[in-house]
Amino acid sequence: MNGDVLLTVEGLSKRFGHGKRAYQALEDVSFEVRQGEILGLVGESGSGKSTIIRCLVGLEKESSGTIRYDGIDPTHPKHGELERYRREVQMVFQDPYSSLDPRMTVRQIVEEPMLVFGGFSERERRARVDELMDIVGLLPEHLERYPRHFSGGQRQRIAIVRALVVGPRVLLCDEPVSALDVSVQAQVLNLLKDMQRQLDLTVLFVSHDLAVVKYLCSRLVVLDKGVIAESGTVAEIYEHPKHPYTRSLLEAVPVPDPEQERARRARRLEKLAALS
Amino acid sequence: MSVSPLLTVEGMTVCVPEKERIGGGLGDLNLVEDLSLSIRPGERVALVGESGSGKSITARAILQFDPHLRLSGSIAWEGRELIGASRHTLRRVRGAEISMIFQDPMTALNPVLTIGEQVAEPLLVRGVSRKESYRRAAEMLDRLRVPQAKERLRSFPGQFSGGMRQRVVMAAALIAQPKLLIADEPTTALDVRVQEQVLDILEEQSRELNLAVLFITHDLAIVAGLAQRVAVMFRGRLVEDKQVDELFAHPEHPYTRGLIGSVPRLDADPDVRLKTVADYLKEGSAA
Repeated sequence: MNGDVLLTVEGLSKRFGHGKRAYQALEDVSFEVRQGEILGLVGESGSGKSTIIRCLVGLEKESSGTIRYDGIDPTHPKHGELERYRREVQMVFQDPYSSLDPRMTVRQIVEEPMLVFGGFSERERRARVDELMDIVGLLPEHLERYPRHFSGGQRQRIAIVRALVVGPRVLLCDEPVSALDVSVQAQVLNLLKDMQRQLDLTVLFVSHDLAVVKYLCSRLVVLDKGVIAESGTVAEIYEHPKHPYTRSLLEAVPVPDPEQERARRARRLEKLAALS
Repeated sequence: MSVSPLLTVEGMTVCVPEKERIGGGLGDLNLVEDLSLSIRPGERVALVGESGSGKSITARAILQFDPHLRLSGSIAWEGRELIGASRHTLRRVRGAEISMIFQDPMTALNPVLTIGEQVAEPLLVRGVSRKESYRRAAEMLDRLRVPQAKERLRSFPGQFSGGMRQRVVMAAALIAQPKLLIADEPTTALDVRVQEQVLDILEEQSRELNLAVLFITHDLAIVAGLAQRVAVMFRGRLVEDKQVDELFAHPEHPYTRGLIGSVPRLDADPDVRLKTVADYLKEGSAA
Protein backbone atom coordinates (compact mmCIF):
# COMPACT_ATOMS: atom_id res chain seq x y z
CA MET A 1 0.00 0.00 0.00
CA ASN A 2 1.32 3.36 -0.94
CA GLY A 3 1.11 6.11 1.60
CA ASP A 4 0.99 4.31 4.95
CA VAL A 5 3.75 5.46 7.24
CA LEU A 6 6.18 2.60 7.73
CA LEU A 7 9.07 4.20 9.55
CA THR A 8 8.92 7.16 11.87
CA VAL A 9 11.85 9.03 13.32
CA GLU A 10 10.93 11.51 16.02
CA GLY A 11 13.06 14.03 17.83
CA LEU A 12 16.21 12.10 17.08
CA SER A 13 19.32 13.63 18.64
CA LYS A 14 22.81 12.28 18.77
CA ARG A 15 25.74 13.66 20.71
CA PHE A 16 29.25 12.35 20.35
CA GLY A 17 31.68 12.83 23.23
CA HIS A 18 31.14 14.49 26.57
CA GLY A 19 31.27 17.89 28.22
CA LYS A 20 33.16 20.61 26.40
CA ARG A 21 34.30 18.39 23.57
CA ALA A 22 30.84 17.04 22.81
CA TYR A 23 29.63 17.33 19.27
CA GLN A 24 25.95 17.54 18.44
CA ALA A 25 25.68 15.44 15.29
CA LEU A 26 21.89 15.40 15.15
CA GLU A 27 19.40 17.69 16.80
CA ASP A 28 15.72 16.96 17.04
CA VAL A 29 15.35 15.31 13.64
CA SER A 30 11.88 14.06 12.76
CA PHE A 31 10.59 12.56 9.54
CA GLU A 32 8.43 9.78 8.22
CA VAL A 33 9.05 7.24 5.52
CA ARG A 34 5.96 5.94 3.76
CA GLN A 35 5.47 2.46 2.42
CA GLY A 36 6.72 2.14 -1.17
CA GLU A 37 8.45 5.50 -1.51
CA ILE A 38 12.08 6.47 -2.03
CA LEU A 39 12.92 9.18 0.46
CA GLY A 40 16.11 11.14 -0.14
CA LEU A 41 18.23 12.27 2.79
CA VAL A 42 20.44 15.05 1.52
CA GLY A 43 23.29 17.02 3.02
CA GLU A 44 27.01 17.61 2.95
CA SER A 45 29.57 15.64 4.91
CA GLY A 46 29.06 16.34 8.58
CA SER A 47 25.35 17.05 8.16
CA GLY A 48 24.45 13.88 10.05
CA LYS A 49 22.81 11.92 7.27
CA SER A 50 24.92 8.81 7.81
CA THR A 51 24.43 9.10 11.58
CA ILE A 52 20.68 8.82 11.05
CA ILE A 53 21.12 5.62 9.08
CA ARG A 54 23.54 4.25 11.66
CA CYS A 55 21.06 4.99 14.45
CA LEU A 56 18.33 3.26 12.45
CA VAL A 57 20.29 0.03 12.14
CA GLY A 58 21.64 0.21 15.66
CA LEU A 59 25.28 0.88 14.79
CA GLU A 60 24.97 4.02 16.90
CA LYS A 61 22.82 4.58 19.97
CA GLU A 62 20.79 7.77 19.76
CA SER A 63 21.05 10.23 22.66
CA SER A 64 17.32 10.89 22.61
CA GLY A 65 14.35 10.48 20.34
CA THR A 66 12.37 7.53 19.12
CA ILE A 67 12.36 5.26 16.11
CA ARG A 68 9.19 3.39 15.19
CA TYR A 69 8.97 0.79 12.49
CA ASP A 70 5.63 -0.87 11.83
CA GLY A 71 4.78 -0.98 15.53
CA ILE A 72 8.28 -1.93 16.62
CA ASP A 73 10.56 0.22 18.74
CA PRO A 74 13.95 -1.27 17.85
CA THR A 75 15.62 0.30 20.86
CA HIS A 76 13.14 -1.32 23.27
CA PRO A 77 12.04 -4.42 21.38
CA LYS A 78 9.62 -6.99 22.70
CA HIS A 79 10.34 -10.66 22.25
CA GLY A 80 11.20 -11.51 18.64
CA GLU A 81 10.68 -7.98 17.38
CA LEU A 82 14.34 -7.18 16.92
CA GLU A 83 14.83 -10.16 14.68
CA ARG A 84 11.91 -9.12 12.50
CA TYR A 85 13.21 -5.54 12.38
CA ARG A 86 16.69 -6.61 11.38
CA ARG A 87 15.35 -8.86 8.71
CA GLU A 88 12.96 -6.33 7.23
CA VAL A 89 15.30 -3.34 7.35
CA GLN A 90 18.46 -3.96 5.35
CA MET A 91 21.36 -1.75 4.45
CA VAL A 92 23.65 -1.01 1.49
CA PHE A 93 26.88 0.78 2.37
CA GLN A 94 28.72 3.51 0.53
CA ASP A 95 31.94 1.80 -0.30
CA PRO A 96 31.63 -1.56 -2.07
CA TYR A 97 35.39 -1.99 -1.74
CA SER A 98 35.32 -2.26 2.04
CA SER A 99 31.83 -3.62 2.70
CA LEU A 100 32.43 -7.04 1.12
CA ASP A 101 34.70 -9.56 2.86
CA PRO A 102 37.62 -10.17 0.45
CA ARG A 103 38.07 -13.74 1.70
CA MET A 104 34.53 -14.88 1.02
CA THR A 105 33.21 -15.93 -2.36
CA VAL A 106 30.23 -14.06 -3.73
CA ARG A 107 28.02 -17.06 -2.91
CA GLN A 108 29.17 -17.05 0.72
CA ILE A 109 28.59 -13.31 0.93
CA VAL A 110 25.07 -13.31 -0.43
CA GLU A 111 23.98 -16.49 1.38
CA GLU A 112 25.25 -15.39 4.77
CA PRO A 113 22.20 -13.30 5.77
CA MET A 114 19.93 -16.31 5.14
CA LEU A 115 22.15 -18.51 7.30
CA VAL A 116 22.16 -15.90 10.06
CA PHE A 117 18.37 -15.64 10.14
CA GLY A 118 17.87 -19.34 9.51
CA GLY A 119 14.82 -21.04 8.12
CA PHE A 120 16.04 -21.27 4.54
CA SER A 121 16.71 -24.71 3.10
CA GLU A 122 19.71 -25.14 0.86
CA ARG A 123 17.49 -25.36 -2.19
CA GLU A 124 15.65 -22.21 -1.16
CA ARG A 125 18.90 -20.36 -0.64
CA ARG A 126 20.15 -21.33 -4.08
CA ALA A 127 16.90 -20.39 -5.73
CA ARG A 128 16.76 -16.95 -4.10
CA VAL A 129 20.39 -16.22 -4.89
CA ASP A 130 20.03 -17.31 -8.52
CA GLU A 131 16.90 -15.24 -8.98
CA LEU A 132 18.39 -12.05 -7.51
CA MET A 133 21.71 -12.43 -9.30
CA ASP A 134 19.77 -12.63 -12.51
CA ILE A 135 17.69 -9.55 -11.70
CA VAL A 136 20.75 -7.42 -10.94
CA GLY A 137 22.45 -8.61 -14.10
CA LEU A 138 25.19 -10.84 -12.69
CA LEU A 139 25.95 -14.29 -14.04
CA PRO A 140 25.70 -17.62 -12.15
CA GLU A 141 29.43 -18.26 -12.61
CA HIS A 142 30.18 -15.03 -10.73
CA LEU A 143 29.03 -16.74 -7.53
CA GLU A 144 32.25 -18.71 -7.14
CA ARG A 145 34.51 -15.69 -7.57
CA TYR A 146 35.89 -13.28 -4.98
CA PRO A 147 35.05 -9.57 -4.61
CA ARG A 148 38.44 -8.54 -6.01
CA HIS A 149 37.43 -9.91 -9.39
CA PHE A 150 34.67 -7.35 -9.75
CA SER A 151 34.46 -3.70 -10.65
CA GLY A 152 32.93 -1.15 -8.28
CA GLY A 153 29.54 -1.24 -9.98
CA GLN A 154 29.42 -5.03 -9.91
CA ARG A 155 30.42 -5.04 -6.25
CA GLN A 156 27.66 -2.65 -5.39
CA ARG A 157 25.21 -4.98 -7.16
CA ILE A 158 26.53 -7.87 -5.04
CA ALA A 159 25.94 -5.74 -1.94
CA ILE A 160 22.39 -5.08 -3.13
CA VAL A 161 21.76 -8.81 -3.60
CA ARG A 162 23.06 -9.44 -0.09
CA ALA A 163 20.66 -6.85 1.29
CA LEU A 164 17.65 -8.14 -0.65
CA VAL A 165 18.14 -11.85 -0.15
CA VAL A 166 16.18 -12.12 3.11
CA GLY A 167 13.23 -10.27 1.61
CA PRO A 168 13.37 -6.91 3.41
CA ARG A 169 10.67 -4.25 3.17
CA VAL A 170 13.00 -1.32 3.77
CA LEU A 171 16.36 -0.67 2.18
CA LEU A 172 18.68 1.91 3.76
CA CYS A 173 21.23 3.11 1.22
CA ASP A 174 24.14 5.20 2.47
CA GLU A 175 25.54 6.98 -0.60
CA PRO A 176 25.52 3.78 -2.64
CA VAL A 177 26.75 5.43 -5.84
CA SER A 178 29.14 8.10 -4.61
CA ALA A 179 32.15 5.76 -4.77
CA LEU A 180 31.30 4.77 -8.33
CA ASP A 181 32.24 6.25 -11.68
CA VAL A 182 29.52 8.17 -13.46
CA SER A 183 29.60 5.51 -16.14
CA VAL A 184 28.36 2.80 -13.76
CA GLN A 185 26.38 5.08 -11.47
CA ALA A 186 23.49 5.07 -13.95
CA GLN A 187 23.35 1.25 -13.86
CA VAL A 188 23.08 1.10 -10.09
CA LEU A 189 20.50 3.91 -9.98
CA ASN A 190 18.33 2.16 -12.57
CA LEU A 191 18.71 -1.08 -10.66
CA LEU A 192 17.56 0.51 -7.40
CA LYS A 193 14.59 2.07 -9.16
CA ASP A 194 13.61 -1.27 -10.74
CA MET A 195 14.05 -3.17 -7.48
CA GLN A 196 11.95 -0.68 -5.61
CA ARG A 197 9.10 -1.09 -8.11
CA GLN A 198 9.30 -4.84 -8.55
CA LEU A 199 9.62 -5.69 -4.87
CA ASP A 200 7.56 -2.77 -3.56
CA LEU A 201 10.51 -1.69 -1.44
CA THR A 202 10.65 1.35 0.74
CA VAL A 203 14.00 3.06 0.34
CA LEU A 204 15.80 5.63 2.44
CA PHE A 205 18.44 7.01 0.10
CA VAL A 206 21.27 9.07 1.55
CA SER A 207 23.13 11.24 -0.92
CA HIS A 208 24.94 14.51 -1.36
CA ASP A 209 24.14 14.63 -5.07
CA LEU A 210 20.93 16.51 -5.73
CA ALA A 211 20.76 15.44 -9.36
CA VAL A 212 20.83 11.78 -8.31
CA VAL A 213 18.18 12.39 -5.66
CA LYS A 214 15.94 14.10 -8.17
CA TYR A 215 16.15 11.12 -10.49
CA LEU A 216 15.40 8.57 -7.81
CA CYS A 217 13.33 10.01 -5.00
CA SER A 218 9.78 11.22 -4.55
CA ARG A 219 10.35 13.19 -1.36
CA LEU A 220 13.44 14.50 0.36
CA VAL A 221 14.75 15.77 3.65
CA VAL A 222 17.58 18.31 3.56
CA LEU A 223 19.95 18.24 6.52
CA ASP A 224 22.26 21.04 7.50
CA LYS A 225 24.66 20.42 10.41
CA GLY A 226 22.41 17.92 12.11
CA VAL A 227 19.22 19.94 11.77
CA ILE A 228 16.53 19.56 9.14
CA ALA A 229 16.69 22.59 6.87
CA GLU A 230 13.60 21.66 4.93
CA SER A 231 11.64 18.70 3.66
CA GLY A 232 8.99 18.13 1.06
CA THR A 233 8.29 16.57 -2.30
CA VAL A 234 10.93 16.67 -4.99
CA ALA A 235 8.76 19.00 -7.07
CA GLU A 236 8.34 21.51 -4.22
CA ILE A 237 11.94 21.65 -3.19
CA TYR A 238 13.50 21.72 -6.65
CA GLU A 239 11.07 24.32 -7.95
CA HIS A 240 10.93 26.50 -4.85
CA PRO A 241 13.75 25.83 -2.43
CA LYS A 242 12.94 27.84 0.67
CA HIS A 243 16.08 27.43 2.70
CA PRO A 244 19.27 29.23 1.56
CA TYR A 245 21.26 26.07 2.28
CA THR A 246 19.14 24.07 -0.16
CA ARG A 247 19.50 26.81 -2.75
CA SER A 248 23.28 26.84 -2.43
CA LEU A 249 23.38 23.05 -2.75
CA LEU A 250 21.23 23.21 -5.87
CA GLU A 251 23.38 25.90 -7.39
CA ALA A 252 26.52 23.83 -6.88
CA VAL A 253 25.41 20.87 -8.99
CA PRO A 254 27.57 20.83 -12.12
CA VAL A 255 25.83 20.60 -15.50
CA PRO A 256 27.40 18.74 -18.43
CA ASP A 257 27.16 21.80 -20.67
CA PRO A 258 30.11 24.15 -21.25
CA GLU A 259 28.08 27.31 -21.82
CA GLN A 260 25.89 26.88 -18.75
CA GLU A 261 28.92 26.02 -16.64
CA ARG A 262 30.85 29.10 -17.74
CA ALA A 263 27.82 31.29 -17.06
CA ARG A 264 27.50 29.75 -13.61
CA ARG A 265 31.15 30.43 -12.84
CA ALA A 266 30.82 34.03 -14.00
CA ARG A 267 27.82 34.50 -11.69
CA ARG A 268 29.75 33.04 -8.76
CA LEU A 269 32.74 35.27 -9.34
CA GLU A 270 30.47 38.29 -9.56
CA LYS A 271 28.92 37.38 -6.24
CA LEU A 272 32.37 36.95 -4.70
CA ALA A 273 33.49 40.29 -6.05
CA ALA A 274 30.36 41.93 -4.69
CA LEU A 275 31.09 40.50 -1.24
CA SER A 276 34.65 41.76 -1.01
CA MET B 1 47.38 29.74 -31.80
CA SER B 2 50.83 28.90 -32.97
CA VAL B 3 52.49 28.82 -29.57
CA SER B 4 54.63 25.73 -29.40
CA PRO B 5 53.32 23.13 -26.97
CA LEU B 6 54.77 22.67 -23.52
CA LEU B 7 54.20 18.99 -23.47
CA THR B 8 53.91 16.72 -26.48
CA VAL B 9 53.14 13.08 -25.94
CA GLU B 10 53.41 11.04 -29.10
CA GLY B 11 52.53 7.43 -29.65
CA MET B 12 53.03 6.66 -25.99
CA THR B 13 52.45 3.06 -24.92
CA VAL B 14 52.58 2.03 -21.27
CA CYS B 15 53.22 -1.65 -20.79
CA VAL B 16 53.36 -3.90 -17.73
CA PRO B 17 55.99 -6.55 -18.45
CA GLU B 18 54.78 -10.10 -17.83
CA LYS B 19 56.94 -10.65 -14.73
CA GLU B 20 55.53 -7.53 -13.05
CA ARG B 21 51.90 -8.45 -13.53
CA ILE B 22 49.98 -8.72 -10.29
CA GLY B 23 47.95 -11.91 -10.29
CA GLY B 24 50.32 -13.32 -12.90
CA GLY B 25 48.47 -13.01 -16.18
CA LEU B 26 50.15 -14.22 -19.33
CA GLY B 27 52.14 -11.95 -21.60
CA ASP B 28 52.89 -8.25 -21.45
CA LEU B 29 49.89 -6.04 -20.84
CA ASN B 30 49.44 -2.66 -22.47
CA LEU B 31 47.65 -0.26 -20.15
CA VAL B 32 47.84 2.66 -22.54
CA GLU B 33 48.28 2.25 -26.24
CA ASP B 34 49.58 4.69 -28.81
CA LEU B 35 48.43 7.83 -27.02
CA SER B 36 49.17 11.27 -28.42
CA LEU B 37 48.33 14.46 -26.58
CA SER B 38 49.78 17.94 -26.43
CA ILE B 39 49.32 20.80 -24.02
CA ARG B 40 50.18 24.43 -24.70
CA PRO B 41 51.26 26.96 -22.06
CA GLY B 42 48.30 28.05 -19.97
CA GLU B 43 45.95 25.57 -21.58
CA ARG B 44 43.49 23.59 -19.49
CA VAL B 45 42.99 20.10 -20.81
CA ALA B 46 40.71 17.49 -19.29
CA LEU B 47 41.51 13.81 -19.60
CA VAL B 48 38.27 11.92 -19.08
CA GLY B 49 37.45 8.24 -18.77
CA GLU B 50 36.14 5.65 -16.33
CA SER B 51 38.30 3.79 -13.84
CA GLY B 52 40.55 1.38 -15.65
CA SER B 53 40.61 3.44 -18.84
CA GLY B 54 44.24 4.41 -18.26
CA LYS B 55 43.91 8.09 -17.49
CA SER B 56 45.78 8.04 -14.19
CA ILE B 57 48.45 5.78 -15.63
CA THR B 58 48.92 8.30 -18.45
CA ALA B 59 49.42 11.09 -15.94
CA ARG B 60 51.80 9.05 -13.85
CA ALA B 61 53.71 7.99 -16.95
CA ILE B 62 54.37 11.62 -17.89
CA LEU B 63 56.23 12.03 -14.58
CA GLN B 64 57.46 8.43 -14.64
CA PHE B 65 56.33 7.57 -11.15
CA ASP B 66 56.24 3.83 -11.82
CA PRO B 67 59.71 2.57 -12.75
CA HIS B 68 58.52 -1.02 -13.32
CA LEU B 69 56.32 0.05 -16.25
CA ARG B 70 57.82 0.03 -19.73
CA LEU B 71 57.27 3.23 -21.69
CA SER B 72 57.67 3.62 -25.40
CA GLY B 73 56.93 6.43 -27.80
CA SER B 74 57.85 9.95 -26.90
CA ILE B 75 57.12 12.43 -24.10
CA ALA B 76 58.66 15.77 -25.00
CA TRP B 77 58.71 18.49 -22.35
CA GLU B 78 59.68 21.87 -23.83
CA GLY B 79 61.55 20.03 -26.52
CA ARG B 80 63.40 17.69 -24.14
CA GLU B 81 62.68 13.98 -24.29
CA LEU B 82 61.59 12.61 -20.91
CA ILE B 83 61.49 8.91 -21.75
CA GLY B 84 64.93 7.59 -20.91
CA ALA B 85 65.94 10.88 -19.29
CA SER B 86 68.37 10.71 -16.37
CA ARG B 87 67.12 10.65 -12.79
CA HIS B 88 68.75 14.01 -12.34
CA THR B 89 66.71 15.56 -15.17
CA LEU B 90 63.49 13.98 -13.94
CA ARG B 91 64.06 15.30 -10.43
CA ARG B 92 64.44 18.78 -11.83
CA VAL B 93 61.25 18.51 -13.84
CA ARG B 94 59.11 16.96 -11.11
CA GLY B 95 57.64 19.54 -8.78
CA ALA B 96 59.43 22.51 -10.29
CA GLU B 97 58.21 22.31 -13.89
CA ILE B 98 55.46 19.70 -13.76
CA SER B 99 53.58 19.25 -10.51
CA MET B 100 50.88 16.83 -9.55
CA ILE B 101 48.02 16.73 -7.05
CA PHE B 102 46.03 13.67 -6.12
CA GLN B 103 42.50 12.67 -5.35
CA ASP B 104 42.61 12.28 -1.64
CA PRO B 105 43.92 15.27 0.31
CA MET B 106 43.73 13.20 3.48
CA THR B 107 46.48 10.83 2.40
CA ALA B 108 48.54 13.26 0.31
CA LEU B 109 49.63 15.18 3.40
CA ASN B 110 51.87 13.91 6.17
CA PRO B 111 49.85 14.06 9.40
CA VAL B 112 52.86 14.68 11.65
CA LEU B 113 54.37 17.60 9.72
CA THR B 114 53.01 21.13 9.93
CA ILE B 115 51.28 22.74 6.96
CA GLY B 116 54.18 25.18 6.67
CA GLU B 117 56.79 22.43 6.46
CA GLN B 118 54.86 20.67 3.72
CA VAL B 119 54.02 23.71 1.61
CA ALA B 120 57.56 25.12 1.90
CA GLU B 121 59.30 21.81 1.25
CA PRO B 122 59.59 22.13 -2.56
CA LEU B 123 61.51 25.39 -2.00
CA LEU B 124 63.58 24.13 0.92
CA VAL B 125 64.88 21.15 -1.05
CA ARG B 126 65.89 23.53 -3.81
CA GLY B 127 68.06 25.53 -1.43
CA VAL B 128 65.82 28.51 -0.74
CA SER B 129 66.31 29.88 2.78
CA ARG B 130 63.90 28.84 5.51
CA LYS B 131 62.61 32.33 6.12
CA GLU B 132 61.99 33.03 2.46
CA SER B 133 60.37 29.61 1.92
CA TYR B 134 57.92 30.14 4.75
CA ARG B 135 57.14 33.65 3.61
CA ARG B 136 56.27 32.34 0.15
CA ALA B 137 54.31 29.45 1.64
CA ALA B 138 52.12 31.90 3.51
CA GLU B 139 51.75 33.98 0.38
CA MET B 140 50.73 30.95 -1.66
CA LEU B 141 48.16 29.80 0.90
CA ASP B 142 46.77 33.30 0.96
CA ARG B 143 46.45 33.26 -2.83
CA LEU B 144 44.42 30.07 -2.53
CA ARG B 145 42.18 31.81 0.00
CA VAL B 146 43.20 29.92 3.09
CA PRO B 147 42.17 32.31 5.86
CA GLN B 148 44.90 33.51 8.25
CA ALA B 149 47.52 31.79 6.17
CA LYS B 150 50.48 32.94 8.21
CA GLU B 151 49.11 31.61 11.50
CA ARG B 152 47.92 28.38 9.89
CA LEU B 153 51.49 27.47 8.84
CA ARG B 154 51.95 25.98 12.30
CA SER B 155 48.78 23.87 12.13
CA PHE B 156 48.67 20.20 11.28
CA PRO B 157 46.64 18.63 8.44
CA GLY B 158 44.25 17.06 10.97
CA GLN B 159 43.06 20.52 11.94
CA PHE B 160 41.94 21.26 8.37
CA SER B 161 38.77 20.28 6.54
CA GLY B 162 38.92 18.37 3.25
CA GLY B 163 38.57 21.46 1.05
CA MET B 164 41.24 23.33 3.03
CA ARG B 165 43.56 20.34 2.80
CA GLN B 166 43.18 20.22 -0.96
CA ARG B 167 44.17 23.90 -1.03
CA VAL B 168 47.25 23.08 1.05
CA VAL B 169 48.15 20.32 -1.41
CA MET B 170 47.67 22.76 -4.27
CA ALA B 171 49.83 25.36 -2.54
CA ALA B 172 52.64 22.82 -2.16
CA ALA B 173 52.26 21.86 -5.81
CA LEU B 174 52.30 25.45 -7.07
CA ILE B 175 54.90 27.04 -4.82
CA ALA B 176 57.87 26.16 -7.03
CA GLN B 177 56.05 27.81 -9.96
CA PRO B 178 55.56 24.86 -12.27
CA LYS B 179 54.33 25.41 -15.80
CA LEU B 180 52.06 22.38 -15.80
CA LEU B 181 49.87 21.05 -13.03
CA ILE B 182 48.52 17.52 -13.33
CA ALA B 183 45.41 17.20 -11.18
CA ASP B 184 44.23 13.61 -10.71
CA GLU B 185 40.56 13.73 -9.60
CA PRO B 186 41.30 16.51 -7.11
CA THR B 187 37.68 17.08 -6.11
CA THR B 188 36.21 13.57 -6.09
CA ALA B 189 36.53 13.33 -2.31
CA LEU B 190 34.91 16.72 -1.71
CA ASP B 191 31.36 18.00 -1.20
CA VAL B 192 29.73 19.79 -4.13
CA ARG B 193 30.02 23.28 -2.71
CA VAL B 194 33.64 22.75 -1.70
CA GLN B 195 34.34 21.15 -5.07
CA GLU B 196 33.12 24.30 -6.74
CA GLN B 197 35.44 26.49 -4.66
CA VAL B 198 38.45 24.31 -5.40
CA LEU B 199 37.67 24.29 -9.14
CA ASP B 200 37.26 28.06 -9.17
CA ILE B 201 40.60 28.52 -7.45
CA LEU B 202 42.24 26.14 -9.89
CA GLU B 203 40.87 28.04 -12.85
CA GLU B 204 41.87 31.38 -11.37
CA GLN B 205 45.44 30.23 -10.75
CA SER B 206 45.65 28.83 -14.23
CA ARG B 207 44.65 32.21 -15.67
CA GLU B 208 46.80 34.35 -13.40
CA LEU B 209 49.97 32.27 -13.54
CA ASN B 210 49.54 31.11 -17.14
CA LEU B 211 49.60 27.64 -15.69
CA ALA B 212 48.75 24.71 -17.94
CA VAL B 213 46.49 22.14 -16.26
CA LEU B 214 45.91 18.50 -17.12
CA PHE B 215 42.72 17.69 -15.26
CA ILE B 216 41.89 14.02 -14.83
CA THR B 217 38.34 13.03 -14.00
CA HIS B 218 35.55 10.56 -14.69
CA ASP B 219 32.89 13.25 -14.57
CA LEU B 220 32.48 15.38 -17.69
CA ALA B 221 30.11 17.76 -15.95
CA ILE B 222 32.77 19.21 -13.69
CA VAL B 223 35.19 19.99 -16.51
CA ALA B 224 32.58 21.50 -18.84
CA GLY B 225 33.22 25.00 -17.52
CA LEU B 226 36.86 24.52 -16.60
CA ALA B 227 38.66 22.95 -19.52
CA GLN B 228 39.29 24.40 -22.96
CA ARG B 229 39.93 21.02 -24.45
CA VAL B 230 38.74 17.54 -23.52
CA ALA B 231 40.43 14.25 -24.34
CA VAL B 232 38.43 11.08 -23.78
CA MET B 233 40.09 7.77 -22.95
CA PHE B 234 38.45 4.39 -23.34
CA ARG B 235 40.16 1.06 -22.66
CA GLY B 236 43.67 2.49 -22.83
CA ARG B 237 43.17 4.50 -26.00
CA LEU B 238 42.35 8.09 -26.76
CA VAL B 239 39.04 8.05 -28.62
CA GLU B 240 38.35 11.75 -28.90
CA ASP B 241 40.29 14.99 -28.39
CA LYS B 242 38.46 18.24 -29.09
CA GLN B 243 37.69 21.77 -27.98
CA VAL B 244 35.20 21.59 -25.13
CA ASP B 245 32.24 23.21 -26.91
CA GLU B 246 32.73 21.04 -29.95
CA LEU B 247 32.91 17.90 -27.82
CA PHE B 248 29.67 18.57 -25.98
CA ALA B 249 27.89 19.72 -29.13
CA HIS B 250 29.05 16.87 -31.36
CA PRO B 251 30.36 13.95 -29.37
CA GLU B 252 31.48 11.44 -31.97
CA HIS B 253 32.43 8.32 -30.10
CA PRO B 254 29.52 6.40 -28.51
CA TYR B 255 31.52 6.23 -25.29
CA THR B 256 31.75 10.03 -25.14
CA ARG B 257 28.02 10.26 -25.78
CA GLY B 258 27.54 7.79 -22.94
CA LEU B 259 29.66 9.82 -20.53
CA ILE B 260 27.63 12.93 -21.29
CA GLY B 261 24.25 11.23 -21.36
CA SER B 262 24.45 8.93 -18.35
CA VAL B 263 24.87 11.72 -15.79
CA PRO B 264 21.65 12.52 -13.91
CA ARG B 265 20.77 16.16 -14.54
CA LEU B 266 18.73 18.62 -12.55
CA ASP B 267 16.91 19.75 -15.68
CA ALA B 268 15.99 16.22 -16.77
CA ASP B 269 12.65 14.48 -16.34
CA PRO B 270 13.11 11.88 -13.59
CA ASP B 271 10.59 9.57 -15.25
CA VAL B 272 12.78 9.14 -18.30
CA ARG B 273 15.02 6.18 -17.65
CA LEU B 274 18.72 7.02 -17.47
CA LYS B 275 20.67 5.53 -20.33
CA THR B 276 23.85 3.83 -19.22
CA VAL B 277 27.19 3.97 -20.98
CA ALA B 278 26.63 0.34 -21.97
CA ASP B 279 23.39 1.37 -23.77
CA TYR B 280 25.26 3.98 -25.79
CA LEU B 281 28.01 1.55 -26.69
CA LYS B 282 25.44 -0.98 -27.86
CA GLU B 283 23.75 1.65 -30.03
CA GLY B 284 27.15 2.64 -31.39
CA SER B 285 28.07 -0.86 -32.46
CA ALA B 286 24.60 -1.45 -33.94
CA ALA B 287 24.73 1.72 -36.03
